[in-house]
Amino acid sequence: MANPKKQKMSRRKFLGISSCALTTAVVGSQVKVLKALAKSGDISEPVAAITKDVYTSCGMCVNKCGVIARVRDGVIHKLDPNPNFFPKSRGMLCARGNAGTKVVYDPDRLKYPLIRVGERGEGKWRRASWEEALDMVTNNMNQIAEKYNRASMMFASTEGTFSEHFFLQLAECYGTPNTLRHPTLCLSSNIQGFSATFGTNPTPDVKNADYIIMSGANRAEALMTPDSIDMIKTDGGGRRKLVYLDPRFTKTAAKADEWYPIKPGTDMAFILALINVIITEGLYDDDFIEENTVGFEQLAQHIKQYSPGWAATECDIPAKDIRRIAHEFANAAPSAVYYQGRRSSFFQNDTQMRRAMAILNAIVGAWDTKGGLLPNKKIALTKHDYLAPWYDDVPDRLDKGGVTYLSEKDGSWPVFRDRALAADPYPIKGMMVYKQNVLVSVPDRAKSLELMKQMDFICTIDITMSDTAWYSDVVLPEATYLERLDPPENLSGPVPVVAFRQPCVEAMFESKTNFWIMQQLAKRLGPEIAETFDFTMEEHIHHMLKKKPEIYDALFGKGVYYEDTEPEYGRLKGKRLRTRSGKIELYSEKYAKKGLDPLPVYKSPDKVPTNMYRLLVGRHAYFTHGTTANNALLHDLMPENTLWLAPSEARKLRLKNGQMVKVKSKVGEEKLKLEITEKIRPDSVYMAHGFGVLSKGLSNIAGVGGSDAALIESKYCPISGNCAMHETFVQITPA
Amino acid sequence: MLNLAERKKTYQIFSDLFRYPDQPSQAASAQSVADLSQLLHLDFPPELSQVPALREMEVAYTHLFVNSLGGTPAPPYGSVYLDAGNLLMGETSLKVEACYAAENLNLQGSDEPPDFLATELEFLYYLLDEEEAALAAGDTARQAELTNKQIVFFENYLSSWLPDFCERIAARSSDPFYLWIAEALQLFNRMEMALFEKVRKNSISELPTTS
Repeated sequence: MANPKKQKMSRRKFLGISSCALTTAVVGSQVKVLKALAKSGDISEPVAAITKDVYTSCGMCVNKCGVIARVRDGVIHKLDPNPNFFPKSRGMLCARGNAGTKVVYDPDRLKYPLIRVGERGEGKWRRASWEEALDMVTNNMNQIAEKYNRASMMFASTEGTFSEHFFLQLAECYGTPNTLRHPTLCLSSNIQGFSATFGTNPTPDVKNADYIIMSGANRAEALMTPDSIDMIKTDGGGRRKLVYLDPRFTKTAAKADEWYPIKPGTDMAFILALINVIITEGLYDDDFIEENTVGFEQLAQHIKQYSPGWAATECDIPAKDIRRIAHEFANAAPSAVYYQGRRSSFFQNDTQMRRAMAILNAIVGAWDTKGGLLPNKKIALTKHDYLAPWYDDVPDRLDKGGVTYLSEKDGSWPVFRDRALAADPYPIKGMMVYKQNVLVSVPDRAKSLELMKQMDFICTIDITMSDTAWYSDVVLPEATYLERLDPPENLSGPVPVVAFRQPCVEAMFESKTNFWIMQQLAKRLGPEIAETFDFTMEEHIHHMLKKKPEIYDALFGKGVYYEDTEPEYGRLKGKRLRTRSGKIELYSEKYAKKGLDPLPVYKSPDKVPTNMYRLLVGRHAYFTHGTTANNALLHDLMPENTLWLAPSEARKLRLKNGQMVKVKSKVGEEKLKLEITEKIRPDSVYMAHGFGVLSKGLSNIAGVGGSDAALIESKYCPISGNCAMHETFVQITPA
Repeated sequence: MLNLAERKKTYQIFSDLFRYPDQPSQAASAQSVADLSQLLHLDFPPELSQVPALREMEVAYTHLFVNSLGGTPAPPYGSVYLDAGNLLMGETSLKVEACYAAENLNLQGSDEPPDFLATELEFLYYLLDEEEAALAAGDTARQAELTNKQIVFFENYLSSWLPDFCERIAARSSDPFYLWIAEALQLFNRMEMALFEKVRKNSISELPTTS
């Protein structure tokens, strides 16, 4: 946790291993021509072009696949998958991974520190030296601490960089509790719902399950990673079956054995009805429940109200199908899994919906067994301990108490932003951003712009001119993932691995690693903070691996370290889980004590108002969130987003395929092209995420498509703080 | 037609003008504009009788060549125009670097890719400087060799992308300073092309050394 009031226990000790940095000798005297070119005094030394293959990890999405960079003549010629065992990438690299070279060699990439000259968002910048830019950042941080409070600085960051912890360390050492990470735009309700049941957020063993149900988890597009292929392949309806629920006919729907265009927001009704059938017909795993769970009696009572007939009217899925699916699921169990997906920011009841999923998996014994939910394993690495300075007057997180279970490091974006806008209970006046594209990722962009407007100072560290960078005062260029030595990353899962990144080529222009930037800021913030960053990356890596030095050789020798190649089933059998009771909690005493429903209680979603549509948003295979749409190689595959609308509705509205339409919600209005398609329910419309950017610094996508963040209202799950991104209604009119 | 010394000076001026402006280059730019105007017989607009303040130049340069409105309007790198894929560090960037290396030149003074416009112009300045030395030493073989190198480099790695580059500046900028510089560069490019064409046709045996 990140409470700056607490002091860390021990200071980190280094092993004193010397740096591995390569050095180059300059022979002879140098005579400059004008500025860039210089003539070496020694003409006998030919310069060898660097040609090498470099193991590293992909940084194009969150999956961190194993990569070999083929460096030819000092340039990354192409990226290949690492054929060594790597369970997440299994010898493959997707389109996004292949497009990684473009990240390094993009003429639009950030090249030098930039300082805003005109008004925010006006687009007037000048180059600055690192020294000037860094001084400006820390001067502003110090001013904000002096004028308001250290907690008045917020630090927003994103996952997957392998360097985020340095950014969070700087926040903690500077003295603010207000870090905003990505989970409440993503999976925090998943984590909460499953952890409340199992004490952890397990990984479904989809690869080995005989029967899989996915609802809204569009694995074949939204997280189309090499291992996704294992998850969605079926054998034509024989032993293995995939049932898929989604208001849209997605690529996952195309790969499924059965697809049901479920009414949005009613997944919980479907799940409760499955539980109802399984319990009332005695299809559950009696022994497993007896041995491993608490609260079955309460569940059995509670579930009576949720019959398949009732659910059919809620979900638009026939009762006979619900019943049959319940039978098939229970018959296949424990090799059956209700896959919880990754992004779970759908509805305000999301945590309870995920609880229902967890409970369904539990009552058929699909836990810690082949084809069921698997508790994650981790390969232990040594943490970097540091002594954060003590500040007496730092208040609690701004969003504390805003939701029932707030993660102290992650915060809750919608709650935090509302309080920051109201300066309640204290003002937020400074913003440090590390690669989180707030204006594209956080729903209700108008509010985010308001938030940015009220800042005395904004600094963004990124590799491209994101919308958020565009509205900043100082922009610092980070070296891309193919130019950095990053610390080892422990990728937990049923088969955990350790991955890492090493520089394939030198960082271009004046871009620097996040670690270097943090060190430089720390130095300027004072010796106490500087001391917590007083090590080299090589020392840091050796420190992390000190208990298992063999990992070092494995990483540099084959790009990956692992101990198992198959999941260990039954690992927690007989062991106490990290819940209050130590068992799987069907009935949550913890929730009851907090005044929450101890068992999932269904509430129908709000009805779609007349002449309006429910806005659905989603990710897809080409782009990762809002970060890669400007990549020309990927942009070629999907140059803009469209608004999906069912043909029957298009006829009613007299709209034609391909025409521009206005999409209006309570909080915003966007224009984009209409796509009339049977692939969506008539009560809903859909648009892909990542378009409609404000920043004109992204030449491929500026002014193209519409922004979902501009339209989505900032509703959220009151238990986890996760955004509820499917609770916005919109009107469609010709543009 | 410009003589050797004039061409050398012109390359030097353009190289300076296409680097990120700093205090000395801003101070020198009034003279640069006057010199270019005289060398190329190109009038400059009255507003350029006073060159912009450094801050204005910085903003305009960042907007056009670094990161800015509408995406970097005119990336000053050859590979963006010459190689497929709108990429930095393409095949031609490496070939350009090889040209420098063949002259025993390195890029110690730059964080830019080798085919950064200012550096390419600097390289041509260097070749002309060497030619001037060869001329002074009466080494005609070396002089011819350097003429040939200029032609090869200019035609393969610079001349063909300059029109597109300059048009992008014209299309996306309203800054009179860089608009005029781009116009001047276009003109100089055409003059160099014409000159090299003459050399190729042997209508002149060597490049003019005096006016």
